Amino acid sequence: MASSSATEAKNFVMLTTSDNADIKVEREVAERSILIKNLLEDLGGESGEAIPIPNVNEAVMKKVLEWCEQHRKDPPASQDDDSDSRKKSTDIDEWDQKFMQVDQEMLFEIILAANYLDIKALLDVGCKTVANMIKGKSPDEIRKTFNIQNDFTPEEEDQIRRENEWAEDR
Amino acid sequence: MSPLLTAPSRLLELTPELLELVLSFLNPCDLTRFGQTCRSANAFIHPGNQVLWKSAFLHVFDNPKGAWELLQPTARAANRTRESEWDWFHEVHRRCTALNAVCDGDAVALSNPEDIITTFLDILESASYSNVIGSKARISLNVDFLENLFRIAPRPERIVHDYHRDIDSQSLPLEFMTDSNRPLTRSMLGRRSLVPDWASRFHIFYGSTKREDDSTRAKSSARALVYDWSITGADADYGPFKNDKSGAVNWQVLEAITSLMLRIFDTTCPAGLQTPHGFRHSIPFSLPSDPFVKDDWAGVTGTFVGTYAFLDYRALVHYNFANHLEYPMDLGQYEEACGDIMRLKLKLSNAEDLRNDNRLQTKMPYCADLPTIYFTGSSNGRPIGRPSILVRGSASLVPGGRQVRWRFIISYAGQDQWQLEGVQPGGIRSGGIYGLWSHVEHEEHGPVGPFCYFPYDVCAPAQK
Amino acid sequence: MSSGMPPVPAKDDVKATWTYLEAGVEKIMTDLRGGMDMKTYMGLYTAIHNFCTAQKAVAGTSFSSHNNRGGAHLLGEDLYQHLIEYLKAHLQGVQARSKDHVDEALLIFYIKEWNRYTTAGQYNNHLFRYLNRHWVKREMDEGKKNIYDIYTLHLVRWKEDMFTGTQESVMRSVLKLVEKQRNGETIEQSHIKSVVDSFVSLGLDESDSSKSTLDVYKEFFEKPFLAATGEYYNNESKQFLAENSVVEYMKKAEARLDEEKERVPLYLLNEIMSPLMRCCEEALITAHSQALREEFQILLDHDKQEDLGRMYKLLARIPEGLDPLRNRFETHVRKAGLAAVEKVAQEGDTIEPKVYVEALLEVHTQYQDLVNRAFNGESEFVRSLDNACREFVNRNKICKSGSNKSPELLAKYTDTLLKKSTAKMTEEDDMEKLLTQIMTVFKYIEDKDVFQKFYSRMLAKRLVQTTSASDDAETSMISKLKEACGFEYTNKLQRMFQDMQISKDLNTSYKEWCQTNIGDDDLKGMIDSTYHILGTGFWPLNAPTTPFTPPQVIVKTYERFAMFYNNKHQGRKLSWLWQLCKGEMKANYCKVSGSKVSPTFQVSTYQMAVLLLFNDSDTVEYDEMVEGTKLGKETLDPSIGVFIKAKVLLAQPEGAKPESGTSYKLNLGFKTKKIKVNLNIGIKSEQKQEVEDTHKTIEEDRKLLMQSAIVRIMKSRKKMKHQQLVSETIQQIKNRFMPRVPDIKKCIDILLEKEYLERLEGDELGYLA
Repeated sequence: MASSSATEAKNFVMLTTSDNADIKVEREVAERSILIKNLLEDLGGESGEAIPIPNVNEAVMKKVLEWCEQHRKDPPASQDDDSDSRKKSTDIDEWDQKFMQVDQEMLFEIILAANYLDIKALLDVGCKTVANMIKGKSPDEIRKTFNIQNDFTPEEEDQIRRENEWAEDR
Repeated sequence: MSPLLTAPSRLLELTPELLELVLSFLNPCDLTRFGQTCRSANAFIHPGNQVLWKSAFLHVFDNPKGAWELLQPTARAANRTRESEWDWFHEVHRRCTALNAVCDGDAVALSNPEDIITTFLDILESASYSNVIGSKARISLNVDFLENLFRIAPRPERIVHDYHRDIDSQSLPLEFMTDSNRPLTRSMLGRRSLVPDWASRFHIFYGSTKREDDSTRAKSSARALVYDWSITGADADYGPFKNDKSGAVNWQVLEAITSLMLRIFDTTCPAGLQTPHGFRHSIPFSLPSDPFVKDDWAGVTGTFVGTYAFLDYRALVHYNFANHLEYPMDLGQYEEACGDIMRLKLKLSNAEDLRNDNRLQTKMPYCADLPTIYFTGSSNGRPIGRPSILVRGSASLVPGGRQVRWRFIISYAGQDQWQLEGVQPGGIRSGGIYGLWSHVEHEEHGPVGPFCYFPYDVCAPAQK
Repeated sequence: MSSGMPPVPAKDDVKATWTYLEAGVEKIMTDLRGGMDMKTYMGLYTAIHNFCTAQKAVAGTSFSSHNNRGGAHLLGEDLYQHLIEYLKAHLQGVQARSKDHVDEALLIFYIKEWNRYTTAGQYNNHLFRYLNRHWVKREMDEGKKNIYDIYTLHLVRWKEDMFTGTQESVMRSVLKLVEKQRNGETIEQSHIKSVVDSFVSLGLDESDSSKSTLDVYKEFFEKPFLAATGEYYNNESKQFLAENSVVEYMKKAEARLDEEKERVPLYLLNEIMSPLMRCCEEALITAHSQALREEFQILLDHDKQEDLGRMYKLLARIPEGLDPLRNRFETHVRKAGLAAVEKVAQEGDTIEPKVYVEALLEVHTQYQDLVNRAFNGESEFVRSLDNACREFVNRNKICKSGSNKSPELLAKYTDTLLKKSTAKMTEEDDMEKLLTQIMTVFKYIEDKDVFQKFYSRMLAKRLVQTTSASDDAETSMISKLKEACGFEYTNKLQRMFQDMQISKDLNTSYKEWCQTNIGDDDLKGMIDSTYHILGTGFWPLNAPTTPFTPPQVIVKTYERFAMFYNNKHQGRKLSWLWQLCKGEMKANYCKVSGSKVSPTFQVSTYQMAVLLLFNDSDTVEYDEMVEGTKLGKETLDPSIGVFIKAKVLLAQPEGAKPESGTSYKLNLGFKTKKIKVNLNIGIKSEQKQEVEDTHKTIEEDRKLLMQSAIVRIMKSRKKMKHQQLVSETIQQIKNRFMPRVPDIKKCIDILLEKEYLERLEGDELGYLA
């Protein structure tokens, strides 16, 4: 690494995943992660030293970087994520929808990685995808989707259904 | 028991901040369904989780902060308690419950219509327009909610009329719905009946109904109020105010005026114009202010269209005197005459003589959050070529700071003739202005009648 | 790797996690220069992240035991509290070490520690970002007090644990440095700038941590800074004034103010500019304003423009600083004006208008110049100048004989300027300048109507007697008056001009008419004549005061013209103003000395009538003259007097008074060197009479002006209180003259009598259409 040219060092960074894989990635792409961006800002990032990412494995990291590559030119997220309804729409753009067509295990791993690496937009897309898996489903369908164990007694379940009737869509 | 029992649910294993984020994308229905999956889920979405319920609320309704922030200081101060006690779960629950009661025709819930109607009024009062991301359209979820309610509810007009209950009508069964003339509406009750303000206000905000349009009694009762000499007077500036110098709106009279004038305007107004009524015209600040006219908070600058109505003078006299006899005169069959569609062109004026104009003074209190503003302009009826009529007037806030009070003085050939005293019930820069006209000198037994004016922009077809 | 950090601790162990973090934070706080590797950085971040994400949403106690007005319970508080404890302890150490330093060394220490601490704060803010994003945000959303993002927390701790204990000594050092600089020493300005910046950074808005305020800076920097500044200049100025003159002091104060102004951009916050200036002005100017003002009169007396200008600039900076100067200035100018008039008034009643007007102008010019140069042309001083000028123009020694004297003299001066004799010597540019000067004085004249009267009479004369020098100058003057007083004021003057033009055309067409309508014989016998037709209403001219029978030859001439005129304008009546007519007569009985030409006499028509009597006889009796001309004695006698004086006629017996019994003989031996002999000499008594008449008509006109103003006002108002009507009337006509209240009341009474107005209840008047 010591021999890499100055320009290369500037434009690329090396990431070391939890399973000790080295991934070389353009700095601009990696900086979609606010964690990596802050780190490079604070430490300079000129040393060529690899950045250890102890909480993400290679498979998930590659997936995350794929998303970062696609969204490298997106404007930075605004500071205040106002939880206003219009912004909370669960619409997901087409590329992201396809990107999120992964098994549930990977989906949650992406969410956790995005949360750890501080990539707000990816975290939102992941959570919206999960939310869309809940939408329009009956409680039982939701249980099946997410492997949730029904621990209500039938009486409790009936009562709780009645208690929540007010919220049913019309 | 499922064989997957041993594998833990990834969803439920998320940290609270992440599960909250996932659930923030759900509306109340989906949220409660998630809560029904298991005890932990149910506990997680309990009513105390205001973060979750706020986001669920905002899927269906406007953030009330939008409307609150537009309130004038006096109204805002009166609203403080409500703001500090605001509970997102309680509010969404209350609103959905009211909707359900109406849609299901829930007799028990409907037996106390005050709760339901005041909830709807609350929805309206906390409505605000906001921009849809990536579009110029301005929408209000609350208005959509109310309009949807009237689309899907069975026999929706009874929400407007049947909950005008009073002692006389309580004996009548609620579900007795065959006769559209049944005397249960305010505008069907006749004068002297005690009608709660909330009922009248809701009717005004809703606009006209088919039922009152068809009902002779409705018209009779509305006229009975509007043409009654004793209903207003010097202590109400001869307008639709309480006749006690308080400056407060007399909602019953205003309802009667609205009922008559919406129908009359609808039948008189030329093709190409529509009668603006309904919830979306009852929200403050739905019209933009003219950026080039400073201080014009009321949206005075521009064109207004409207009309007026009157009884044949002999009928008016007869009605008012017969009123005190044993057999009061019924105005149901007595169709009043209506005037032309008038076009007002107004502009703001800060001229000293307007501010000192005797005709524009009032002894009634007003809300000083915004200054009284003055305007001049002209009025044109349909026949072209007639000399234009001069208009001047003022706009101020009704005590409480929510409705706008308007006065127009109409003069012909240098002589002041008519005083129009009106209220814009929807608030600042909303829809119509409704009120009463009278002669400026207010001699005893003079002619009186109702009028309405609308900002031209809300009548123009481009407005959809 | 060389981090020396232990491996990331178990995620749910608070103690182990904090122990791990503390080592990292300590390094960041104290040894960032030693560098930090990526592994350490990521280790710290990850430890915090893992700690905060150690709980599952739906397991354990995350919701059930939590308060019921917020969201779910989030982790992070433990770390936050540990960090606070750490920062407190760290800052205690820093504060303790600060005690070892004083003065500039303390500043250097404070700044160094501040920079190190805030840099560390930025680092920690990034490392604790997961805490910021979730736990801190949630606490703040729920309105918890005293929870801040990690960087702000650093600032809050500094303020509590470091700033509070050291700011006083830090400020003492700052102020010492500043004092050194004020005393002329060179100092390291950047120290102060750094202190200012750090104080500003500590201004946190308690209600919204995303905003900052200047409160801390204002309280702990600005306030002591201003107090020290005030004290410094209080002492300095007192001492300086005790040893130096006021003039010298003003220079010093000016320099100090400039200096302080320049200090701000060097190392202070721009916000301090106005309070700093106010503070310096208070000490340097307000405290000594009395001394400055006392110098003012001396400077005025010696016309020290530069020092006056300096004083103006200084006193203009403090509130109401200039008011006393303005009053003194006004008094001074008024006195100067009165003295100037006094000086020229020694000539007595017969003062030359030119001398008088120039005296007024000189004073005005001098002080206008002063106002422009020293007082920056400031409008309030201009007003004081105007007030003073108005006073001495309208009320001075000359005016004692009559308040109308100023407008009268001004009008006369204007007349001499515009008359042929003077104008010849005046270039056009100079004329314009002179007229502008007249307008300068005119602006101050209160009785503008008096000026108007005199001016119009003199203009009429200039026009009728064709003595006006230039039409351009005349129109220029009229347009100036119009600009000053409006159309109405000059309406008649303009009409007079029109009449002259129309008359010119009329004479031309009369000549043409004569060619075609009069026989050649008659034409030959005709007297050459020109006519001025003057509209009755516009000209300030009176009918002749004496009866007169014009000679036959003139009667014939004007009757022919009258025929022509009536032809053209039927129904118009011509009256002849004989007193203004004049003519020329050839004296065929004698010759101009040394030539063969007979002299021409320029005479008035009255004189002409007298002389024509001598065509029939060389000697004419006084009684025959009376009979032949029908002239009144007061006109006839002076006319004869001129002839006697010029030796055209000889009285018999010699020296006899013009009365019955005296006879006059034509002096056939009349001698003259001139071809034209002017015998049409104005008569003194006539002129005096004219002045009196003019004054009399002014009084009449004023009554009418007041009455018409009153009617106009009442017509538009219909009803009005008496007092209000009086004051509005004054308002309306005060640019013509200053009406007296009793006169207005008299006019109201007249209008009540004429039933234009009526009395209503409660001192109100009503208008009767």
